[in-house]
Amino acid sequence: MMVYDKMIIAADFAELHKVSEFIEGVLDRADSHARSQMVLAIHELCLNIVEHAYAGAPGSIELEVFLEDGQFELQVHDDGPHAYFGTPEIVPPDPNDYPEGGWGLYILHQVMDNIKYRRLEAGNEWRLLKNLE
Amino acid sequence: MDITQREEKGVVVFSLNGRIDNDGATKMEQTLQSAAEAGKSKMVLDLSTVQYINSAGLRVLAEFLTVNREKGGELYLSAVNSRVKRVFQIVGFDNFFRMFDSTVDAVNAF
Repeated sequence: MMVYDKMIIAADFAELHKVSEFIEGVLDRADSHARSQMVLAIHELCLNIVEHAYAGAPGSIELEVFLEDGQFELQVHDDGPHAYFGTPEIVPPDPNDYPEGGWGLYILHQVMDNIKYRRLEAGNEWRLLKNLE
Repeated sequence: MDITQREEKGVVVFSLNGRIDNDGATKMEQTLQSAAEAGKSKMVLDLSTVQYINSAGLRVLAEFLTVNREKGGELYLSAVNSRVKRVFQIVGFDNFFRMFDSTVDAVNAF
């Protein structure tokens, strides 16, 4: 049976707790460790969207989840005026060097099995895949 | 997030209760810095009731630990649950922080 769910929130730091609740709800039958890691990773992505894609501009974030036979897919769209980066260079954080940015996306890449990102004409699109079995 | 603090054998023990998200990280940073400014250098963070830490929390911990070490201080983590420990492993920080099973062990390690 396929599970589909969708949520749209304002691109505002104060709204991001709804992302965690949404993912927790969709993955209520998943292993609790996998669930908590995915909640963290997806929350980090949405933090990045608010902080970098919108960078203070108003807007929204749309999340669409498809869950079937242990395969989790999340599509995330925003209308942010900024792209994150042309070619993401994902390197492990250095605890002795703590620049702004980069750690959240590293977590995202570590937790998810596959990540596709593209800049749209107006906005950004992310497609995250995770095998939960 | 709630933070309480007490002193044991010259070590400041901070008990954190809640989520170390962006708001929690800011509060934790302010609390740690206040203690450092008051001359405290030996610290233990009891994370037994913390179920969540994000990149902002990791960044605060890494920055504070590095600066504190440069001043001759040390910060240990205690009773880190498996979910939070996994986040440390994901970013490769599990060897950067000294973690102890209990706060008693962490305090006695100084």
